[in-house]
Amino acid sequence: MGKRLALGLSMLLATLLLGYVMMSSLTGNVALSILGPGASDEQLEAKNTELGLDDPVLLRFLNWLLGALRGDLGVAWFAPEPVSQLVAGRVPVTLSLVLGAIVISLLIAVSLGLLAGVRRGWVDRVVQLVTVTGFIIPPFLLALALILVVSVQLRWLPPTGYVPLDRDPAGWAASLILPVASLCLGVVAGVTQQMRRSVIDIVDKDFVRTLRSRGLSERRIVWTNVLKNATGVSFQVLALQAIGLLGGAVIAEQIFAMPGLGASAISFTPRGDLPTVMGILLALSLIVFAINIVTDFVIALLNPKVALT
Amino acid sequence: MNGRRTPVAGAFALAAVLALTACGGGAVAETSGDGPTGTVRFASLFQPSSWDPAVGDYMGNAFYYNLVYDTVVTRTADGELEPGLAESWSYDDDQTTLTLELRTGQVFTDGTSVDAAAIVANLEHYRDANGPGTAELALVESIAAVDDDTVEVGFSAPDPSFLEDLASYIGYIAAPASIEAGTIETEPVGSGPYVLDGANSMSGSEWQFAANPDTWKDLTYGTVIASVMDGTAALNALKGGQVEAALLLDPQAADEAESTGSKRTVFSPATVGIAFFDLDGTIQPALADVRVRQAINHAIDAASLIDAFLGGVKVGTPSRQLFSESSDAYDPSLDERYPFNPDAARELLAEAGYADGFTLTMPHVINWGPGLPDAVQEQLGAVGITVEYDQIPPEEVGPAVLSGKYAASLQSFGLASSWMTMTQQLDPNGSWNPFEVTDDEGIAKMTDYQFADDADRPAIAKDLNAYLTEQAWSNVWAHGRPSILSDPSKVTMPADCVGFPSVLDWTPVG
Repeated sequence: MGKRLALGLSMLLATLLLGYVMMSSLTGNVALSILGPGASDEQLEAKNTELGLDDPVLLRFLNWLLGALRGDLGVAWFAPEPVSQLVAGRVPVTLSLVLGAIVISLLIAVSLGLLAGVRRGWVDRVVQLVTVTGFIIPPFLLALALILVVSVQLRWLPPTGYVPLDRDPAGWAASLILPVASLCLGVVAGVTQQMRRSVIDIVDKDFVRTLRSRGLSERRIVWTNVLKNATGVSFQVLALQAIGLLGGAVIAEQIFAMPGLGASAISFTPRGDLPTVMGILLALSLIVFAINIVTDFVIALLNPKVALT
Repeated sequence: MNGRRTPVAGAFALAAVLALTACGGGAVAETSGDGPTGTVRFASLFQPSSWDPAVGDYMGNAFYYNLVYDTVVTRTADGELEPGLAESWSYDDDQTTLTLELRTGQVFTDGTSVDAAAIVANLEHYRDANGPGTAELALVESIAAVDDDTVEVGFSAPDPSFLEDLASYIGYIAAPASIEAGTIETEPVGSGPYVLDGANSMSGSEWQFAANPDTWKDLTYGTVIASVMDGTAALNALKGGQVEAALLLDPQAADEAESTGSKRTVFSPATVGIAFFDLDGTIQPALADVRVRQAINHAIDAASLIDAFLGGVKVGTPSRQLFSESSDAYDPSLDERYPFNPDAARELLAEAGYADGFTLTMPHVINWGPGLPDAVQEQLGAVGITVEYDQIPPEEVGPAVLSGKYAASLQSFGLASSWMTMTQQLDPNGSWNPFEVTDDEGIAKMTDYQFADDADRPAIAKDLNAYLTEQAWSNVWAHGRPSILSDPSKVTMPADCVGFPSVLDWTPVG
C-alpha cells in the first residue's frame, strides 16, 4: 500500500508539472486579451510583470506548488473569484455527474450481467444486442438527441444548467437525469459484458457445482457467491470506466452547460488562464488518485487473495 | 499629432465585438411605487472576468457592468449620448477642459453618495489600473472635483471620443471604498439598476441580479438572470423555453433560432473583410500601389461571401466603408465605389505592373466559416493573385497581425465613433496600423477633425472617409453584426442597437 501511495503521489506531481509547463506555453497572449489590442507595449509588459509571467517556468511552478500546499491557488485571471473557490464550486458538479453515472451504471450493468450470465439463451442474446448498441452510440450524439426529444420537443426536463443539491434536491436530480443518462450508456455496455463473462465463468466453476450438490438454492448461490466473485473483476473495469467518465463529463458538461471541472477546463484553457487551469487539473488529478486508491481497497475487500502490496 | 492607442472591439473575430460598449437604458423612473416583479433569463457566452471594470478584460463584461454600475454618460440604441450620472456636460472653447455636472442624490449600495470625489476616484483608478480603459485616458492631464457635484477633466489635446468612452470603457462608476479595499474585484458595489444576488449566483453557470430599490432608472424586470453557456447550449435553452433571450454569434445558430420563431436583435457592428496593413509595401511591395488595393476590392464578390458564410444581409449590411453607419463619417454613396468586376481588377493589376499577379500571404482564419478562406483564395486567384495561408492557431492570429507579421489578413474591426476608427487606422501608433504607415494627407484631415468644432466635424469626417475609400485603405465587404435572439411571446427587444442592447430596453410581454 505504501509503495502504491508513493507511486501515485509522484505521478500526481509529474502530471501537475507537465500541465504547468504546457499551460505556460499558452499564456503568451493573456495580457493582450485582457487589455485589448489597443494596449501599448509598455502596458503589455506591465501586465505580464503583474501576472508574474516574467520568471522562469520552473521557479513559477515551485511557487505555485508551495502555494497549493498552503491551500492558496491564486486568483483567477478571467473569473471574479479566487481559484480555490472557483474549483470548490465546480467539484460537486463533476462528482455528481461521475458518481451518479457510476451508481446508475453499476445497478443496471450488474443486473443485466447477472441476468444474461445466469439465464443465457434468448435473454443473453437480447442483453448482448443492447450492450453492443451501447458501445456504438457516441455519448455526445445521445446527449443531443435527448435534448432535442426530451427538452425541446416534450419540455419534460431542462436542456441546460445545474442546480446545487443544497439549494433544491429535486431540481438537482432533474438537472442530472439527461447528462447522466448520456454518460451511462457506454459504461453500462462495458461493465455488463465484463459481468456476464465473470458470471458465466463462475457458474461453471467446481465450487458452485459443489454448492449446488449440497442442495443450496440457485438463487442463494447467485446472490452470494457468484455476485461477490463476479463483481470484483467488474469493479476493476468500472474503475477504469470511472476515470474515462471524467473525460466524458467534459463533453456532457459542455453540452448541458453545467459548471463542472471539464466545462471550465474547456473555457479557461484557450484563454491561457494559468492559475484556474492548474486548479482544475489539481482537482481532477486528486479525483483520479482517489478513485485508484478506493478501487484497490474495495477489490482487496471483495477478494482477500489479492494482496495489497 | 497626438499618438493615441485605443482599445478596440472586434479584435480577432466577429465574436470580439462585444467590447465594453452598451447602449440604451437612460429612461428615468416616473413613479417610485412598487418596482417590477418579473424575471428575464438571458443565455450569454461570457461570464464576468472581474467585477472591477478597470481591469475586467475588454470582451464580454459590458452586459454585467451595465447591470450593477451606472455610467457617467449613457448611449441610446441609435448611438446618441444622453445623461447618465452626469446630468449635463460642456467643453470650453479649445476643447481641452470638460465640465461634468452630476445628478444629485444618487447613492452606492454601500450607502455612500455618488459625488464628484467618487467620479474622480474612479477615473484615477481607470488611469492607474493598467486595464483596457487605461489608454482612453492618454490625453487626460488633470481630473478634479470642483465641488460636490462638478467634475473637471483637463486634456493635453481634444479627445473627440472621450464622452463616448464615459458611456463605456471608463464610464462605469464603483464605490471608492470598494476600490480602495480591493474588494471590488469579487464584489461589485455600484449605483446601477441591479444588485448582484451572490447567494443565488454560481460562477460559470448563473449570475442573478435583483432590482436596486434606489435606482433612478426605470426598470422592466425585478430579476435578471444570466446563464453562461456555449452557443449550442444557448440555442437549445432558447428553443426549450429555458431562457427568454440568447446571444448567438454563430450565423447558422442564429438562423436556426429565427426559423423556429425567435426574433433577432442585431448590435455592435464590426467590419468584415480583408484588411491591408502593409500599405508602404515593407514586406509585400504590391500593396503599396493603390491600384493593387483597388483591384482586390473589385476582385472580391462581397455579396456572395456574405450570403454564403456570414449569415446574409440580415446580420450585416454590405458596405465598403471603414466607418460605422451611426458615425458622422458615414456616406452611403461610398458603398458603390467598388462593384464586383474581375475585368477591372485585372486591368488595374496590369497598370500597376502586376499583370502576372503576385503572392499574398495571410494567416488562415476559420472563425467566419471554414470555407471562407478558400472562397477568397479562389476569387483573388481568378484575377491572378495567389493567396497563401499560414496555418497558425486561432488564438495566435490576433497577436501575429497586431505585431506586423502579415501584410494583410481576414479581419474584423469594431465600429464605434469615427474618431476611434481614425486613430486606430491612421495614427502611426494606432492599434490597426501595425506597420506604422504614415499617410500625411489622412493625418492632416484627422488633425483637422480633432481640433474642429462639433458643427464642422461631420464634413471633415465624410471627406476623410471618401479619401480612405478612394485609397482602398482596406477591403471592407460588410458591416457584420452579432445577434441576440429572443422569444417574442415573452419579451420585446429593440431590433437593432449600436452597442449591446441594455436590459432596460427589454420589456416583458403581457
